Amino acid sequence: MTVMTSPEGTVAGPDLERLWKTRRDRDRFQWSSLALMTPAFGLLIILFLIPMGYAVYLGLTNLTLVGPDSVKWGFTGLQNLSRLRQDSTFWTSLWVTGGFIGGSIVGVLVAGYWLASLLMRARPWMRIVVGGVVVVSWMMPAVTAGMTWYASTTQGGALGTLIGMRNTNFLDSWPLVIVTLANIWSMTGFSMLVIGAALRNIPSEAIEAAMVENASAWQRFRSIVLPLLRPTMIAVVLLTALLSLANFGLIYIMTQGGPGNATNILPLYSYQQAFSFNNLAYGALIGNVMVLLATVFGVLYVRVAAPRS
Amino acid sequence: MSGIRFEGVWKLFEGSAVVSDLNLDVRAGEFIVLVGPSGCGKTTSLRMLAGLERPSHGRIFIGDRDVTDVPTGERDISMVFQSYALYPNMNVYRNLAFGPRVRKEPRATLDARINEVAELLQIKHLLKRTPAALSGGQRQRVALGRALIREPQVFLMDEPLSNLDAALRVQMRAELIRLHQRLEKTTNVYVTHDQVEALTMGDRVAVLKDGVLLQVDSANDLYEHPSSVFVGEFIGSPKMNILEGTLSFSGDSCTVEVLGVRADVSERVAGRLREGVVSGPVLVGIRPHDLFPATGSTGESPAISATVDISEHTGAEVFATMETGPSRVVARLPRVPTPDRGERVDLAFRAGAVHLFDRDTQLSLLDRGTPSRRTSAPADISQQVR
Amino acid sequence: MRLLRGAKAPRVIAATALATVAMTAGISATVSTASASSKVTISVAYAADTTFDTIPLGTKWWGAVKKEFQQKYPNVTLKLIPVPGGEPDFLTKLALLFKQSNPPDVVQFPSTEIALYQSSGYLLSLDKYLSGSGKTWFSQYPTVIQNEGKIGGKIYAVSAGENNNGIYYDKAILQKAGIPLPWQPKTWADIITAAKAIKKAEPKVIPLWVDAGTSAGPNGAGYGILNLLAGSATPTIQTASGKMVVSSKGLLQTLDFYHTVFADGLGAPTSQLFSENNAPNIPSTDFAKGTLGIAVAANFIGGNWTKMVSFPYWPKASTAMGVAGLPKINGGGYASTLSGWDFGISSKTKDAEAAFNLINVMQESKNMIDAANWAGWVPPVKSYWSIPTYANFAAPFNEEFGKLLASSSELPTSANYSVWVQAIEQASGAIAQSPSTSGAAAMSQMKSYVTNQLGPSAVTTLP
Repeated sequence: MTVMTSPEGTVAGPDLERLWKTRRDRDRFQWSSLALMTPAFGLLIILFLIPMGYAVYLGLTNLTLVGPDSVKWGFTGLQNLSRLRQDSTFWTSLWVTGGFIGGSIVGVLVAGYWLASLLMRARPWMRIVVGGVVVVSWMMPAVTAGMTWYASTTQGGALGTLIGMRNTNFLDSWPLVIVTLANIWSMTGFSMLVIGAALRNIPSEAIEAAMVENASAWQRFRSIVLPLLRPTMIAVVLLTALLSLANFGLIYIMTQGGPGNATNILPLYSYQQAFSFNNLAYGALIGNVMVLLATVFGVLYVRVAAPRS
Repeated sequence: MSGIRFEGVWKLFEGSAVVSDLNLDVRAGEFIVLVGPSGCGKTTSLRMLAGLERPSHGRIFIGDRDVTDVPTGERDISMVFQSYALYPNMNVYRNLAFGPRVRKEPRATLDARINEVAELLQIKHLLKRTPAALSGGQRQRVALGRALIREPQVFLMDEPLSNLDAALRVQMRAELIRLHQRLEKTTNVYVTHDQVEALTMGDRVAVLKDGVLLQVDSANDLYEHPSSVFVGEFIGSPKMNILEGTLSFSGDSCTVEVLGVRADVSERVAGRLREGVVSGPVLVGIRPHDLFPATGSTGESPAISATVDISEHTGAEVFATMETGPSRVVARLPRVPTPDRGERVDLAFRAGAVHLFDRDTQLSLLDRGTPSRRTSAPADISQQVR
Repeated sequence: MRLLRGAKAPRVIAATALATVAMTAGISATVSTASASSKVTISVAYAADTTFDTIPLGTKWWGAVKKEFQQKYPNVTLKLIPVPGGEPDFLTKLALLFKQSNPPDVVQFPSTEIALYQSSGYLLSLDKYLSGSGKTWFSQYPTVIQNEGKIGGKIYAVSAGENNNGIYYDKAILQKAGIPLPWQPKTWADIITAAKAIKKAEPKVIPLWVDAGTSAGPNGAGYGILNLLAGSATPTIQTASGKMVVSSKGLLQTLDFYHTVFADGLGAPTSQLFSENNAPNIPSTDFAKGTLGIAVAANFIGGNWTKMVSFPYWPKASTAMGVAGLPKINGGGYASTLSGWDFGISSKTKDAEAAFNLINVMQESKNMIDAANWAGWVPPVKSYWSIPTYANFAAPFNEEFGKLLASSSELPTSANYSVWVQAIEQASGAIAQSPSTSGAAAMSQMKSYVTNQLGPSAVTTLP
């Protein structure tokens, strides 16, 4: 391009200018493309923008499920927001959500990497069996996973029986820990698959080269494997965060947010406000907070996952 | 200075032997090439030497030290991989510095050492680039540089040139030879499937086939005294013609009948014939270089009438596939005039250059006569084969 | 409504609920308009999955009602609208149904919803019909149940069946503990004394079941802690001006009672109390296994042991188990909450006459007794209690609970109540989980939760 615009020195200068103007490989805009994009835009607007806008609006009203405010309702300005600011249950819920997501991320990463690297070295039949079991746990509906974990972590359940504490009620004693573990359990299959694929993409000769250089296992992991897995791990982190934030069913089945508010993550609190306490509008506002959180994770995910060119 | 010794090394993989009873002595400072077609066990042998594979049986020594059970990092070796195996997440500088750093070598001398190596390999301007931004030849140099940083006892190379284009391969080949001459204390083990590379680079060349070591010799001796039909055909280009023939003795003279003519090979076989060889059918090996238009000179066989089928121009010479009776042979024809298809030519071969092999065992019937001088990478051969 | 009460249905997000309801409503709308000309069509919405003990029993009951109704009124077509889902989902979907322009004509719903629906203007006043064709059965309701649907002097709903609560006890276990039979505690202290005696005599038995925690939803408290509150010094939950009581002598007495129960190790383990799987029905299995001494529990426990319900089937229950009224704290009568299901008519109905005729059919003794037996209710009509098909269904429990009905009291039905009941369940759960929690501490926790949710102006403190 600099050649084209500098007039001096080149014999073919004027010609080049003409060639530049008439070149046929430039990006072109065609009005017909707008027409072709209309269905996609329309769907986006109907299925996404309008409902989103409506949800934001709902969050600032006094709509209830039944009762007088379900018939006559209207915009109440920032009233719900100031209520949200003072709502200690909401802040507790936000912390619980953070703990749940944070714990899930760490657990899913560690367990996923651990399983993936073990399976790399496992015998084929072992790889099929273990991989299959883990993936089944991932494919399992939240209801089934929740029921399974509920049954195994309460008094007389499998966990207590296995470690010789039959009479301990793990779910009620460490509710957030147990539901986080259940969430990790149900998502490890996904992270194992993704990290496993990334591990297989690491050139084995690079690892061998490092072995020849007498690098210890930790040095090989730290200097080569981890940097190469980094993009994958970030994707796993963000997807885990998003999926955990949406994992309503699991906790609803296991504890319904209890005991007290110990496992009351935002989706449950939103549901409780909207449908148990009838406050559809306030529930929608809490839902909007979740959308905001999810957007942050989503934008991060897109930025990290997008190919850098 | 450390030599290398394989003692009865086997590598079994899923019931079959990838390497069978390998016994090989490499002298300290020697440049040895393991060559053979793919699947012959050459890379496996190298990887066992590097400690990346464990031998199923046998022992491996570097110098006097039995390294069979020594972890790879403690063998004091450097290795260049076929894929170069650069660390994709590090720039060139950090690729070179990785080894010294994990070995906790003093940092003070590190920069100087990297500069020295980078200068030697002319990659100084690339130090800040990542492997993805390098061309194949540049990556190859970096891989080499990474191996050189260590100043190892033993330098292993696994087909380091196979991913390069032809021109670059020839250039790098020369550079590797020069490098080896500079680092004369280092023992080099070099794996390739390319016999030209093997002949040009190796002080000695070890030919493997199906996991069995067939012959270890200097390039010259391999070319002149192949111990078997396989080695005869594998070394040299175009391939040696292998023909059915009959060996007959009468009195002091020995003749071989091949391609419909009878040639006196008494001089060739004198004092070199293996014990127990009697008259009868044999396999006769004639290199295309030794088969040319008859001139009637002494030492030539009687004329063989042949028809040109396909001719291949290789620059200096033309090699043509010829039909003569039931046989097809490759012969060396003059460049001018260009031989036409269907043209009749009277061929003759040099009787003093025929190779004789047993029909059943395919082993050579001739012992090596006067021991030939060991020379490294004789230039005449590389010219001949190219 | 025994087995699925409090059980968790699969999660339902509002979107799918909306979609389902919209579809159901759409169908009902087309049907009712299409046949409006010659033949009248009315519709009735009810919970498909939660009201009856089993789903087929519900189908059977509603099918029989439809058949009988259409025979009696050949000009009217009855359209059944079963609304699927667990109770919270059912309530959500029902509310959305009523937001449509074409709501069902008749609805069967929990009594806690009456005030909400009435305040939304969804319900038709029934007084005209109750003094007319409905008088025969409505006049036989106990006063407390007549008032169940009364708001501002008008009646908007009539009972479909009631749940009340009392005390069950295992006769053999009490005998081993040295307590003379038949046992009728006079005060709460009597209950504690008996429970302590059981703990001493039979250490492996759970002495006393009282519910705790949030896992059974708002109903859980109705089958447990609110019965005790009803028998305390100040049973008020919501004042006449609509404020929720977050601190009172009665609340403190009740939570102190819980503290005593759990601090002394007399209560059930949290694995049972907090069970997401149908906690209010756990006493029936525990009793059958012989691992429970006394329970404050609902009327339907007795029916659980019948062959029809089999939860579990326990033929010896009629002789092995005893029933007693739950005494007030210091004696002077019994106390129980009342939670029932009701019928109402939509204010938008096109044919109120036909709609009330449907209610008349459903209030007939056979239909009411079938419903009571199959859903675990006490029928609201006094004369039905001694009809053998009811009394013998789960003898002696059914008749006893019929008699206890008169001493029951209604629960509030405002939107704020759902927050308050969540808070008292959290308080009882806190005590059950860490028995060192005092009654006062649990009450202040409850107070701060309700105040936080509803704002200080919606709560009050009673002496």
